[in-house]
Amino acid sequence: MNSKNAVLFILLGIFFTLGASAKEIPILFEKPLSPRIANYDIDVRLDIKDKKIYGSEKLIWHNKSNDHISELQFHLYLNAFRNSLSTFMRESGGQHRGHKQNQWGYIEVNSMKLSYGLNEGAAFDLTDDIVFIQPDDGNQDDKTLVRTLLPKPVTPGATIVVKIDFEAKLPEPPFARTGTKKEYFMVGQWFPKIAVYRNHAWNSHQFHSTSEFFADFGVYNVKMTTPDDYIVGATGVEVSVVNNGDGSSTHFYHAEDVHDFSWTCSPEYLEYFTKAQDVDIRLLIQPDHVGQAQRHLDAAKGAVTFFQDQYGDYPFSNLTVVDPRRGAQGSGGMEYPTLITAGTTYKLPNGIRSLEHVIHHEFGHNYWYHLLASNEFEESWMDEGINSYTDLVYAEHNYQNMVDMFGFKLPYLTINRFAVMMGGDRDSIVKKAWEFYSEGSYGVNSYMKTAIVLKTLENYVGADVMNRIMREYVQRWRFKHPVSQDFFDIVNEVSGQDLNWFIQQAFYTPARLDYAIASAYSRKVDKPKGYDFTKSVTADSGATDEEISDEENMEDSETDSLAEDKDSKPPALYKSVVKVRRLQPFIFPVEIEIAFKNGEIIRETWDGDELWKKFIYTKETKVEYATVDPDRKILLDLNFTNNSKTADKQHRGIAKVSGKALFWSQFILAQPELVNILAMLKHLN
Amino acid sequence: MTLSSIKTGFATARSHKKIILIFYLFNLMFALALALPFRAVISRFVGNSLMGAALADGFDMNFFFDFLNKNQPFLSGYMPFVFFLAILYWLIMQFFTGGVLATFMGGDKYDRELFWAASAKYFPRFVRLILFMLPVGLILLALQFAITGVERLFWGDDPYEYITYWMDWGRVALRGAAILFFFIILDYAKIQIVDKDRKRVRRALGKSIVFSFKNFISTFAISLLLSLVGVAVLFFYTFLADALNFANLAGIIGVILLQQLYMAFRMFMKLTLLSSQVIFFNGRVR
Repeated sequence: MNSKNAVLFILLGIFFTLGASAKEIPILFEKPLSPRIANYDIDVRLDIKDKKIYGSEKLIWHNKSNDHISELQFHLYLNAFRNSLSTFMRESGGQHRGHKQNQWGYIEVNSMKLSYGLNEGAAFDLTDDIVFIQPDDGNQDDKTLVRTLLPKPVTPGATIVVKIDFEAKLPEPPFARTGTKKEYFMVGQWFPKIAVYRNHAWNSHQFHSTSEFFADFGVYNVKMTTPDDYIVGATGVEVSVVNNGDGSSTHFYHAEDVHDFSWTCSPEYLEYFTKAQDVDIRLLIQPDHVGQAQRHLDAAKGAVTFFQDQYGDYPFSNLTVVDPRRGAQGSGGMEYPTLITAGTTYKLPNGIRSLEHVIHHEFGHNYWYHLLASNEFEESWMDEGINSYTDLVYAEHNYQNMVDMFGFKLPYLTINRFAVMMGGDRDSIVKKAWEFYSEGSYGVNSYMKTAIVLKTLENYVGADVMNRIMREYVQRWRFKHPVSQDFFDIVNEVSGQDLNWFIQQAFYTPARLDYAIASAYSRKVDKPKGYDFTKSVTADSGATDEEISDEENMEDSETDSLAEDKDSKPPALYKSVVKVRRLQPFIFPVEIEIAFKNGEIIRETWDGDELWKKFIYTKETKVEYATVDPDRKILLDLNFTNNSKTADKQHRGIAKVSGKALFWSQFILAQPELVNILAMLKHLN
Repeated sequence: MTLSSIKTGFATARSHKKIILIFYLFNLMFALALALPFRAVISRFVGNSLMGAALADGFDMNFFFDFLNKNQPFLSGYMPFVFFLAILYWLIMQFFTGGVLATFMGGDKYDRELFWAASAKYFPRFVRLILFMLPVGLILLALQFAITGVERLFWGDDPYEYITYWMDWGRVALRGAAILFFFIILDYAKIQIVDKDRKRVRRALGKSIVFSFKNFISTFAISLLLSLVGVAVLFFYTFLADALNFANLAGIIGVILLQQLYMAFRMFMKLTLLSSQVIFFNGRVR
């Protein structure tokens, strides 16, 4: 080779090497979607024997406030599982969604070094200055939040680089969404995560049993070294997999404009792929459940398509759906940016839609939790509740019933209503996650009650308007950490109405709603008697014609037989009275439908403000029934059964229910060993 | 022997219509005691509501949850009442069994004095028998854990779900068989007591256990076959009842009549089981 060619060869080599390096980290979005305040480069090694993660992170943090910030605060979420004295464990009693862990977990910061500016000049060692803080409950044993004072403040607009060496141990089995079971790992909330600085202070809370998470957006470059045979799934896109030659491989994932990063690995995963619109979907499924792979894929496709069509573009190109291992259900039903965990059981019948529900619910979080990133500590309803509402909308468009088997149907909407009936009266919806009366109250208010409230709102303003509200909310507030009032402002703006009367009652009070028809009856209008009337006249008394009113005696004034009297008698008049009552404090304008026996139907409206309202009609017909909210729009109503009154007893309905009750009483008395059949039903799910 | 016992059992039961009537009337009486309060509450709750009208055409789960929510005081008192009544019913059936067995063993037609005298005579022994049967019942129910043992032995403490799934069904089947066998032993112990007028209940129980195991296939087959006939007729009844569906007054009356016919048939099957067991027992022992 001559010198010219050698130089060319070297130049080409440099070009391609540099080019390869430049291409190593893809650019997913030419223009950042979010402020990218907290950016992480993380490099970790998984020790599958000790269930530990050893690693380091480099946090590049931008001070986008106008404040001089003199301390940093970090979340160490895994310390919630450190021992029984953490705030999480004390509040939960050691259980989360029915799961318990056997082995504790933790996270230890081994060193923390700070540099001012991106050039990573002189590094200040902050390790010894780290202190645990407990701003919520003062529990000195809780180590889920740390603070470290800075040698000098971070000025507005400045950038700092923090390098942290850490070690994390995962709880076993997976507990409160993260952990490990045998060969399976679901790694969530696993690295030191900087808190959010807003409104001139650090917005940081301890990890409570009812709270979730809150963080700033950024770019993540994460390298995870695992055994060779482990299949890895993670937030973002896979950039490379490098075989290290020592039985391990390093998986490099890159994500932009996300506020969290989770990953999973297992040698048992089976992979399936599909695509929905512009989103690539990857399914990591357990061998046990491979018979349901298509169900998973269909549900994921359905969810992506629905959300993009209804609420706007999901800007990320991929979604990973993870099927937790047997014995690791504590990691199921969770959302992370571009990665969700589902959960199913072997041979789950098609008529039980829990799998479809969990997939579209968790994907929905990729809008409400990921794109919008509201504060799950302080306003849990904005993520869980809005998402539960979109579950209702999805169910309406798709499967309606959560259970549909052997002729038994259990509508998804009804399940939500029942939960609200039984538990929605202790707290208001807008409340800090750990300040609810109980975990049950947190669950009902954050999820189902919000769903029912928003569905009632949809019925009030119309589905089209509600859809515009939701789309505007997503568009305007994506990547901006909205608060409750931001959403309410959009409700008023897009609907063109002042709906604060509804918002205040529904979101800020525990007021319940129940309108009822107290009575609906008709009474015959008696002919007038007494002074100013010539005789006392009734049909029974055989009165003469001239004593009947003018319009009645026109043609028959000559006759005096009772039979002829009957033929010319005016039709009877009835005074019908319908009384509507407001039984609970929540005031809502209502419609009342009154039907008469001659087929006439009247619709009235009432603002619902007073405790009762009476409607009176005088007609030649009797009332047949009266019903408040005839179209069942007010889903917040506690009791649909008292919404109507009929003049006649509904014998057929009562006979049917009673007849069945009688039969099954006889049957079960005669065959007590049928109790074993109940055990069989349990095995269907 | 098995099939001939069942065949003769059918004929014997059919010839004792008065006993069928006694069983049926008591079953109806107890069921009415359960259903009437329930009906009163339903009538008050939904009788004058459009929800009540809707119930005639289909079951609205909203009604179900409204009912549960608004009638908690009633339900909290009603459930213990149901449990108590169920226990009382079962005890009364044990009372009648003495009279039935005495009648079948005597080979004669129903004799009112014999029937009631035998019922009263053997009832205390049957109560003692049931108490002695409790540990037997626990042992039989424990058999299902043999499947758990097999699962652990072959697949350890972390089997794949499909293993657990099918093992669970196996446990259900074994539990069902155990319950069936419990009643088989109980029935043959009663037959032993009545046959020899035994006062020593434990001895009768011991003999019954031996007899049931020695003739396991036949005794189990008699019970299982008659149970399966009952299940088949239940499906047929359900199909007919759904077709009638309380559509109108004629439909309501039709369904109620059909229900009672079915229950009378169930009582007939109960007697058929007892008579088949007596005939089989006599065939083996004599």
